Amino acid sequence: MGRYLLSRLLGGAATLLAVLTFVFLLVRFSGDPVRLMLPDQATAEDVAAMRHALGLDLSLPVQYLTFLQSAVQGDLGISLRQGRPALDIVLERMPATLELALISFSIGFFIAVALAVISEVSGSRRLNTLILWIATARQSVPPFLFGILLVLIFSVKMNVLPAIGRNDWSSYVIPVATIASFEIALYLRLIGSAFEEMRASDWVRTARAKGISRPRLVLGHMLPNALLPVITVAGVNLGVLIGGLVVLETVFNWPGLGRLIIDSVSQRDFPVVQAGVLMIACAFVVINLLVDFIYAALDPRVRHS
Amino acid sequence: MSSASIAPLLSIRDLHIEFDTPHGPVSAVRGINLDLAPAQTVAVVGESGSGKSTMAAAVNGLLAGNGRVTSGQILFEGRDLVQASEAELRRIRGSGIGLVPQDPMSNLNPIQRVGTQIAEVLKVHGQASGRAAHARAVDLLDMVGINDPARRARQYPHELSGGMRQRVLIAIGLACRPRLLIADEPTSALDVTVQKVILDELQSLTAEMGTAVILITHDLPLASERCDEALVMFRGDMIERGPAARVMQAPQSEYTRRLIDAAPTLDAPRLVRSPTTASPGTPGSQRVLAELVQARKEYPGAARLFGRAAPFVAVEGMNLKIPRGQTVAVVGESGSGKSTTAKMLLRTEQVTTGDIIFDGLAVTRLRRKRLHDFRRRVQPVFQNPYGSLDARWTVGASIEEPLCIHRIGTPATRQRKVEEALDAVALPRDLASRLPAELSGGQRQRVAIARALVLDPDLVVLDEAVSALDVIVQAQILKLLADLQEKLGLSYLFISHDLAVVRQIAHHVYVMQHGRIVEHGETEALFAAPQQEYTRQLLAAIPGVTPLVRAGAQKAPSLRPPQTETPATTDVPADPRHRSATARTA
Repeated sequence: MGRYLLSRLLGGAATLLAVLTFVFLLVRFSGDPVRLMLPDQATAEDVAAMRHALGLDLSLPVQYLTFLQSAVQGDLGISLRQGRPALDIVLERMPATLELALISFSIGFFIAVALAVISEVSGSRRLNTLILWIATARQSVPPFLFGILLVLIFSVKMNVLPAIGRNDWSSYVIPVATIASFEIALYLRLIGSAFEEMRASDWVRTARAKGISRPRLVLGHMLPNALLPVITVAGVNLGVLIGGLVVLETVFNWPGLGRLIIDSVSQRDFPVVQAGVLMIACAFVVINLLVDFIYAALDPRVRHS
Repeated sequence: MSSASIAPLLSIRDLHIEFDTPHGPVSAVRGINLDLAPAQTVAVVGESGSGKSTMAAAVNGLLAGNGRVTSGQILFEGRDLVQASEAELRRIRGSGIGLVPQDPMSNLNPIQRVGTQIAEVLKVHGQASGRAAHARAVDLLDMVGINDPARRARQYPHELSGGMRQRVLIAIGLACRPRLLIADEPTSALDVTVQKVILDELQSLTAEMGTAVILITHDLPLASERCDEALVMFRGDMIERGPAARVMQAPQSEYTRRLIDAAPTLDAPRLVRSPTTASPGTPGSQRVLAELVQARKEYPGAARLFGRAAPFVAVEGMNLKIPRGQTVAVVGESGSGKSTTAKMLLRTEQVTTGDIIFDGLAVTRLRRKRLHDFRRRVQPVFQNPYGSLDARWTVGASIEEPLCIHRIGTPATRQRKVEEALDAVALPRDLASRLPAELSGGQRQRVAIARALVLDPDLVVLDEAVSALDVIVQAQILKLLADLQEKLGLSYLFISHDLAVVRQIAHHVYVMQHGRIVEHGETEALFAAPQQEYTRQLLAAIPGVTPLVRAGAQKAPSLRPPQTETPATTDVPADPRHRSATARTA
């Protein structure tokens, strides 16, 4: 158990180092920011002076080491556009993204579990098929399109919910519904197929031979087993969700991290891009560490290995 | 023994069961009748696919989703379970009718403590709650013979051995002291020595509680030893019913007789001749084909936070000689190192120390091209014929593949070799275009043997190659192996846990325990006078065998020599519809 968690921690640290290296290289090789920052009439001397001020005239390995050293100290550079620490800018935007992702994920996950359990306890094939059909239909519509549809219906036609922005609770409804409905479909199918497989398994039959009721069988035995593979997927997926909200943040004009990164890329504000990508990677690593801990807590076989 | 005088506990009347399949309904059980008095035991005997487990599942109301009782009654204490509601069935399951399932590895919830799983049955039937239920669970573990039950109750299934898990399942089945216990092949997945202990335990507990037992088994000798009545089933039909001892000694039906004859016993005639008298004892070195010399195999220990646990030694100090044209058997319980021995010889596992000699040359460290050439001469056949063939490849393609890998022949000559291999294992040539799913288990194992033979190997390693087969098919495959050896001069390394089978086929026997050879010798000598206590234990554990029978002093008059002709009925392709239906009930 100790070794398992230690190896996961080391894995997380290695992932972060890899991400740091990746963003460092990516930004260095995607065009010269100095040219973009300076006015068109800037002289070669101006450019050289600017490059020197930013440390861009040093050799790549030296830049890399300097970058790593300050990154470890929490210094991810100063925004080229705003003149403030890049990390501060990123951290200001982080809550909006995390909020949206976590709320949508939690709602989606719990509704999915509830629906899967209800369907399994009822034992009704028809209900099961109906739920799965709706889920598949929802999954086949891309989120941005589904979001725009909701905006058309609830904001434009009925005028009951705000279309964009992040203000009071009502501004959360459409973005959260858009993402959560997608999550419901995903987890419902995962849990559903785990149930399906388990239904024919030996130990479920043996449990039924004890005379236990269906709710008890599903909640006490099948669900904990079904969740094991699902939470692994959930961890990765939540990470992807946080990093992948860019499109929806643009659709809903949501002041999150994704939009910040997109804006910063087009402005060649590479310290902010670096800090943003790094934060997303951090979130990814932390979530997956949590998943590993939860997994170990749920599965005795992992705990004892 | 007559049940007429007492009101029966369970009475099955003309039971018919069908499974719905995409090809329409398939009948799985037809017209079963059974009366079981309280505290009586009945064995339901049959091969796989005979419907015996389906019938038992119907008693419990636990047929697979696509199965249903089409007619007949199952009267339990006068109540018809076929008509009973799910709630009524729930009250009976676990409290009135207990179940001990077949495979201890797959029948417990893997992430729940075993004590909790036992306590649950007491809780749902209102027999105990909270702490009292857990205390009772510990008592039950003690009752089924588990040491340190309080600690075991807190453990998870993966921390327990197969035998212990089966005891946990027995504890669950008997927790509420049911009037009826359905034991569905309760020991088939266990080692022979453990089998006997578990069956003894089950027998004494049910006798003590006055529980009636339906014992589902494929093993007729075992049934006759343990049960009052026996019911023989074949493909859904009841073939024979009567007192178990009578069915065993004076079977009325042809099928029962075949079943009895095919069951390997220690007094059945052997299929191979003893090694020639010219070479008694250990064979001369020029006649030895393969040899393990002081072979040792260790696996790295489990990883710890710092460093590793001590390595696990699977095989140690192994010396084994396989003479040309003869069969050497390695017997022992699971975990004794016999499969590791096979893998070392096949060079799929590298020995840690020691040497492997093949045809006079050390092959221990061969690599690349020369290892590839060695592989042509040593071929394996594995236990599970369902798992060892690619389901998407035709039989012909599977048999041809080794030839392609070793670049032997042209497509035309390869085709001929495939046909010859099919001839050799007595399969029709047109089977080459079929898929494994269209074949019976016995046919598949013949295909696996054909695939091994197509390269003209010198040595065939048979790792539990007949263990997964029904007795009648098993007898046929053993006969085939003996014939092929005679004809082609093959050598076999025969890995098995079944001493009765080994006695029929092997020239030399090595007995393994805890990774070491404890005893070896010529088959007849070793069986007649085992020197080691462990060997004697293994022999004594074989069902249907008493020391008297072994000595040949008291031979049951009805026992006939095994039929040498291939009975056509059991080795025909199983109807795929039938199988898909029964597979779901398994």
